[in-house]
Amino acid sequence: MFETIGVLVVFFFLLVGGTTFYFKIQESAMQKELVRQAQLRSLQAAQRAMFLPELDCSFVSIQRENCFDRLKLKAFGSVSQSPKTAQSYFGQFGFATVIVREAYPSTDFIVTIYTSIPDEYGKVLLTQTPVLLYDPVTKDFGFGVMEVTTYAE
Amino acid sequence: MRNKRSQMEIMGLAIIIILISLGLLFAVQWMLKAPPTKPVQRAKESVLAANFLNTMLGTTTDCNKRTIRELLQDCALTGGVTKCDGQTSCTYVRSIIQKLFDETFKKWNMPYHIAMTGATPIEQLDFGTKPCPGEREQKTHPLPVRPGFEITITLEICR
Repeated sequence: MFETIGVLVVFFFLLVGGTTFYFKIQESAMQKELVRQAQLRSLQAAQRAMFLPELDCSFVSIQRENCFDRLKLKAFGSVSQSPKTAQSYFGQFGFATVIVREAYPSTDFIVTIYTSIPDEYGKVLLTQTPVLLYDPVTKDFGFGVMEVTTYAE
Repeated sequence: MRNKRSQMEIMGLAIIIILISLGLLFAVQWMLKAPPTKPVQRAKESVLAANFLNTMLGTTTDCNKRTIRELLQDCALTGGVTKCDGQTSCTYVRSIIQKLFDETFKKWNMPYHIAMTGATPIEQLDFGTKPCPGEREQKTHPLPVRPGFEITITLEICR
């Protein structure tokens, strides 16, 4: 009788221990996958923003890679603040904030080109990438940084 | 009868030991497994390094509206004949590049290493960074100075 109970206790102990361990691994794997997906979305959003025709530097219809037109950026920044415009870009960027700031020669040029923040979020991921900021008036290229912040659950 | 029962008990114990051993093996294997390489992180760093070099070379400086690319070419070819704010193009371009790194990688706490090769004046530009001790993401950008003469800029992002 006692032996049977002992065997059952050991069996259930092992079962509970094994199940707990298994679910812990599953949970950790799922967390990693969620972060990976959020990082991927962040990278995708950065790449999409880089190739927005609304902001590109084009010279006789030839688009310069890795470059934003400062005048277009300013105009876009003032338009994109309206909820209607933000909504129309939601399909491209999702829940994210896209900011372009100049790092050289000046540091006071900063434009928010898109922002949509969810009510609740867990992790915030930041992707930064350097971009050229072309001034069509002086024909100079400044060194800027585009910061894409994405919000993961 | 009694002999048979003790045999059954031994069988039960053996099964329990096998189960525990399997569980332990699984746990040890899981714990010792090397962390998986993060392809998204690697892609991000690769894009960052390539974009940094492209953007840096195309940036216009205050030195006669020359780009960093042109100043580096001048430094490699002449050792810094062009004067910018009383400095040679070599020292001037070094300070500008350092400023760009301070505004980006240094601000982001991202260790990096930059190396330029192909001409003595370029190789003497010291950015005070040491080669990455371990894993890194590296991008190399060849910069033609004149036919048959080019310098190479290598940027490493350390992990």
